[in-house]
Amino acid sequence: MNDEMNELRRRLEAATARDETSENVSDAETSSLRQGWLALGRLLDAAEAPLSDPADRWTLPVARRPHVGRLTVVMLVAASLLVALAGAWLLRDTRPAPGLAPSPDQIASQEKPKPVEAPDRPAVPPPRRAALATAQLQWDDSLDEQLVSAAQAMMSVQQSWDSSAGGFDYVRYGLEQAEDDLQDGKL
Amino acid sequence: MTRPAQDTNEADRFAEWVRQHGRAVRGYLLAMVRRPELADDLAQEVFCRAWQARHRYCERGTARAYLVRIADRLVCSHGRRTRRETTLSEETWKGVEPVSKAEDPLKAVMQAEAAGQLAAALDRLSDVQQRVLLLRYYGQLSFSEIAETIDCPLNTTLSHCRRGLERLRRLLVEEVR
Repeated sequence: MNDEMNELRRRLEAATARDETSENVSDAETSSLRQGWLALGRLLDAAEAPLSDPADRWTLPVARRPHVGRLTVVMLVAASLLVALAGAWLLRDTRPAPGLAPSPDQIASQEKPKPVEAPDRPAVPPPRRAALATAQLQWDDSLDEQLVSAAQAMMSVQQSWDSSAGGFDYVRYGLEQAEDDLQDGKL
Repeated sequence: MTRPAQDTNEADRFAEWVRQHGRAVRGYLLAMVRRPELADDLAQEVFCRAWQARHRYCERGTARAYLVRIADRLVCSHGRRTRRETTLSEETWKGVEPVSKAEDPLKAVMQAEAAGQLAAALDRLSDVQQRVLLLRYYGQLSFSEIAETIDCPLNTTLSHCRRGLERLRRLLVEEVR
């Protein structure tokens, strides 16, 4: 069986050789097979549409940009919201009286900022007055306007925080209830 | 080496690769799918895939064999459906491949006629026989490589080749006389 296969393989390799000389053809069967092979080759060559310059037809693949998935975008948006909420949470201590936007007079009537301490005693201004100017600032109308704008912006942040803080309060209430139940042995 | 110079060298290498083997790859695809525009699309895909994995082929053999094997896989994954749908008669083939005004009309007509005869001849062969003969012709693959490509035992592959050649000889040589 192996001999037959080897013999067939030898004939087919001779019949389908690219070299078109008859030196490879040694028997009638191989010659017959080669006739079929050459006829196929002539037909394939004749049927091919000519290519002017193959290099103009097919181009080098361009490196693809990394794909930003939808999940990645959602996570980025969620992270931005968390940062914004965290910032609002930090600013809630500096908010003015609820419902009232501080007027320039109110701001001006608040305790004036203390002068900067000597270097050996670092002065940490209380968070409530973080938005107020330091002793080094000169008060004028433009500064008042800036303070009003800043205060109104803080008010807006506070209002948006309040609208969303309800959920956190609810969660916090639930946690406190659970803690109480644990201590009372109900859970 | 600066990046622009490296990109230029890569492009030159790719262009040279396409020049050397583009005709063979497209010829194989065109003979298998029978649609020039599809053959061009698949050829682009062949070169894209081959270029992206070009470092691997050096261990396996010649570049042409590598490319034609990729082309064969693409044809198989694309399916034989489009080829069967476009089994055309000679007249219909002329309609698909209209004579180009820019080229020599006589050559174009002869080319279309040959394409029709080729399609008719290949249709008389089985799918496997076509693959074996075309892989051998365009890819210059050894019979062992062909057997591996089509996932067939070697002796079966050799039988397919012999039967295909015998049938083609009857169709193209004996019947013409």
